[in-house]
Amino acid sequence: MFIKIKKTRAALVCCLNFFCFFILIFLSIHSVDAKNLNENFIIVKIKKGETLSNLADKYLDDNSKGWIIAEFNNIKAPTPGQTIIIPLKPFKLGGLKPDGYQTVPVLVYNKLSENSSNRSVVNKTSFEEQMRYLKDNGFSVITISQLVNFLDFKEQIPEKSVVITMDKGWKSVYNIAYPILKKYKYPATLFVCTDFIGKKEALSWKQIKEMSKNGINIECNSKTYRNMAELKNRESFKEYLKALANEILISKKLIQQKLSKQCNYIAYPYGKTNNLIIALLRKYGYHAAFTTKCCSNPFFINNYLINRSVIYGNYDIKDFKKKIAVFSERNLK
Amino acid sequence: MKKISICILTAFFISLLSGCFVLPRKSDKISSTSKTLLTKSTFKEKNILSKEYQIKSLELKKNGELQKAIIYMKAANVLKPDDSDIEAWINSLQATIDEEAEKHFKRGLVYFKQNLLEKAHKELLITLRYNPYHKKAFYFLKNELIKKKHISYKIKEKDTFKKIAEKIYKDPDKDFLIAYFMGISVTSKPKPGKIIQLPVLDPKATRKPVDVTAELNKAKALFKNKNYIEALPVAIKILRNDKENKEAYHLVNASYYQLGKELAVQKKYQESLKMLCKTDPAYKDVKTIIAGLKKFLKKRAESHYKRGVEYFVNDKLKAAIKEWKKTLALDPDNKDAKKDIENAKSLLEKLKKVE
Repeated sequence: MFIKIKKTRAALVCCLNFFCFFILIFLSIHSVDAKNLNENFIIVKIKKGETLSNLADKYLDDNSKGWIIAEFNNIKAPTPGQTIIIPLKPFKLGGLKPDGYQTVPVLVYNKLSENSSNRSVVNKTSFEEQMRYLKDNGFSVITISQLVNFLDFKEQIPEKSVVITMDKGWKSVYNIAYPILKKYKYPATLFVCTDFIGKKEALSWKQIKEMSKNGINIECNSKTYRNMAELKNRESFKEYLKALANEILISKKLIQQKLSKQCNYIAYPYGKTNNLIIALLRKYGYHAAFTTKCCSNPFFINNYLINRSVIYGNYDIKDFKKKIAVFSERNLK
Repeated sequence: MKKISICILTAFFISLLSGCFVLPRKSDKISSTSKTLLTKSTFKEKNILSKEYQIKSLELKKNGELQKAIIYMKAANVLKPDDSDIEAWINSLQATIDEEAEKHFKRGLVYFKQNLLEKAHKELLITLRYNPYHKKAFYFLKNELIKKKHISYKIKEKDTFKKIAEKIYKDPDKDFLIAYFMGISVTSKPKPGKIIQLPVLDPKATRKPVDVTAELNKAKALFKNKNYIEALPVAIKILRNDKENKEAYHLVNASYYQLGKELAVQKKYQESLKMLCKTDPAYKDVKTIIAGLKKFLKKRAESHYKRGVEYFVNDKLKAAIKEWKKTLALDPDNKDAKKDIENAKSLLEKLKKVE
């Protein structure tokens, strides 16, 4: 009886050993495949109902990155049964190609109006037409953080990317631009001049807070909107330095305090800057800064001299098209 | 029972050592899908797909999209792991990428040292096109190939803020700026050995404030002595510093106005018109003078034009051209004169050939 029990136990141990061994083999094989697939990409067979957005959410942890899958596989939408590759690492940093490189236009709007327009005021119809043009022509509106990550070679962005910004903080941004941007689900950045807030034609903190919660990123456009690149009449260099620090720091702190968010970017008043201002921006923790030099931006541009194209009220759609160049030709073979 | 536990524990430790038990992470989702593909697809299906990926990869390589080409070929390899040709191709492409990137980077550095910045820029871009993870190439493009915006300075023994300011800005009074960027008080001592980064100052940000009163008196005196040419830049300088200065604004307009009138007397009509057009249209009777001058110039231009036509009709082509050039000097927008000069010139050339 005792021998029988012993034999049974030995057989059990033996079986368990075999079981563990097979599990081990299975897991080893499985882990090799997973490792291969996880290194740079994953091969996926599309199931019914899967979209670019939910594939991106599932494999890239971000449903807004469906464009990566679309661009890599050169598809507009996945079809069930189709096998696609999902790249898990960037494959086109800087948008470099043998015939040139990607550039990102940054648009800037000032005042907007319901009907009338002049050079410095864009009317509602034109603004809506321009936003619709971006949508109909396959442009992706990206955030400033995405742009800066592109400039730093940390992130790839859609081929036809564009950034929308607005300066100073006029009421018309809330009344005209904001509803249209919401309609198109476009992220945008508003650079506010903090001394203007609450004044006659300017936005209130209440309006700014509401926009901030709904896709409009609020950043700094200085405190008083003085031309920071030049000394004022009878201003000593010491006074100038102090004034610059106030323009840069007080507005940053106020935005951070009022909106409980980081303020990392600034748009120079009148688009003008100099090396001293840039040194101060670095000292006070700004990550990038924007001028009004009318050009699109390649990745190798200085982060503190990012170009922006001012969109004027007298522009028609042809003029607008000229401001949104997304590629610069250059022989890079 | 003890033995069973030992067995299970042994198996667990072996599996842990071999790295099979992966802790839960995002890739768990991935492996489940890849498993579906790997298990449900037949050997034949995988082979076909692998072939497709290989073709695509070759196509991408041909188009210069190397990063994508590598991924496609690696995908082909995953589907057909025993194909040594694919593995060899991947290794060869990777080696080419690395070699080309390094070759262009070195070339870029040579150009950089020779101060051929445009060429260096291009080579560094090519380096990054081959290898986007080439950190040195990226650093050079973003930092070294742009105009220097700051100066690095290593603090020496016996250095004071004033001494550093004198060395860097040629102005010991900028000592506070050095202290400011070091984040310490100007009354303290800078620490020897420390490297500081200071901005290169723009002339507009460092110019000394203008003594408006003194400059204004100077401009007024020059104007009073009818020296309008010298009064003008002094008044403009005041306005650059004080946009609202009404006296300086008046002096600028008055100087342009007087210069315009003087030039008209000297029969330098175009120069006169230029000066008058720079004057504020609301200043005195400048609007009327400009209109009168333009009318006068047009009339004179017209008479020269007609004279030119007469010469032309009489086959005096050179004289005709001369007259029409006079027309253009008085009326630069005269299209007829421009066209006729061209015609006359081409006729002259034809005549020369015939002769």
